[in-house]
Amino acid sequence: MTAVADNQARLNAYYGEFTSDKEKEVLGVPLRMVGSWAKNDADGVANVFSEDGILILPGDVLKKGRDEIRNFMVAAYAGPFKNTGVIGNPVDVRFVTDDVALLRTHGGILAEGETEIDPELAVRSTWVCVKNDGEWFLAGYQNSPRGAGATLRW
Amino acid sequence: MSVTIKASELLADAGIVEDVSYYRSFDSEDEKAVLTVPMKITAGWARNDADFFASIFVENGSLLMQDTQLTSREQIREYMAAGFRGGLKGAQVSGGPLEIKFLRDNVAMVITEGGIILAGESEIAPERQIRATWIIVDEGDGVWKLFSHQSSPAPYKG
Repeated sequence: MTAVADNQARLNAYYGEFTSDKEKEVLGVPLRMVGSWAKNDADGVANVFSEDGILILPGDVLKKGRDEIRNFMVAAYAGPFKNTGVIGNPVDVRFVTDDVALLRTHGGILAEGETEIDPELAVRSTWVCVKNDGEWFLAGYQNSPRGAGATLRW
Repeated sequence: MSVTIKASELLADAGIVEDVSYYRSFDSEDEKAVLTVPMKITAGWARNDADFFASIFVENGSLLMQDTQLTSREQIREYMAAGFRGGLKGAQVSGGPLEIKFLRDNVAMVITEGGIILAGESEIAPERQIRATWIIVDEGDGVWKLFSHQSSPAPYKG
């Protein structure tokens, strides 16, 4: 298989059942996150968000706006997230309006050198996406543990 | 044409007495109207009323409960009805808003903190403390509804 065909096959596998142009367009948001994360690029991650986007992670992470998100990611890539990657596949795509969409993915952080997610690191993610001036951005991102880590919460 | 209904009226229509302390600093008319959704949800828990709880969602509303992703009002109603008969009998929720962003005139994203208080408990146990993202929409009738709710474990600061 050529590199281009291989890449297209991987993309098609990622899109799964969400094959309309509109769905594929908004599903570019997680792809940009994955791409920036693979380079441990804090600016790139911050720029996936809208200017006032919000990042929530389990524990005590609530970051508001690109600057806070960038600073958090710079520190994370220097420490606990160093050389990690992220992966995720869409399980739900729903449009609130033509320019606001909600994505859910199953995925998580890949430890250095790993190709599969440790079950303890598996998460469900909500991506709140907004289309501003023709481009989709993350207005909000949040994830929570799957499996045994999904304790009695609502 | 869109309709605007005041928060106090939206709550009164649901038989809820307005607790203005819930709004914290988010006290513009628009923000208060959006926050009627978490206030109604809180009342739904307090009443252990799955029908009322589910009615606060849009038809294809989604809710993540523990490791179960619910994706319609009917699934939510069934799940909560079973819960209120079982492990969630007598459970309530408590919490408040941390952030409100209007993504569009009729779409708001709200971040809250809080959690479940089980029957017999007086506060949110540390392992049940959460932050949640709510997508709240007005489908045109002025009654804000819940499109999506997901929480993550996070400390409750009150």
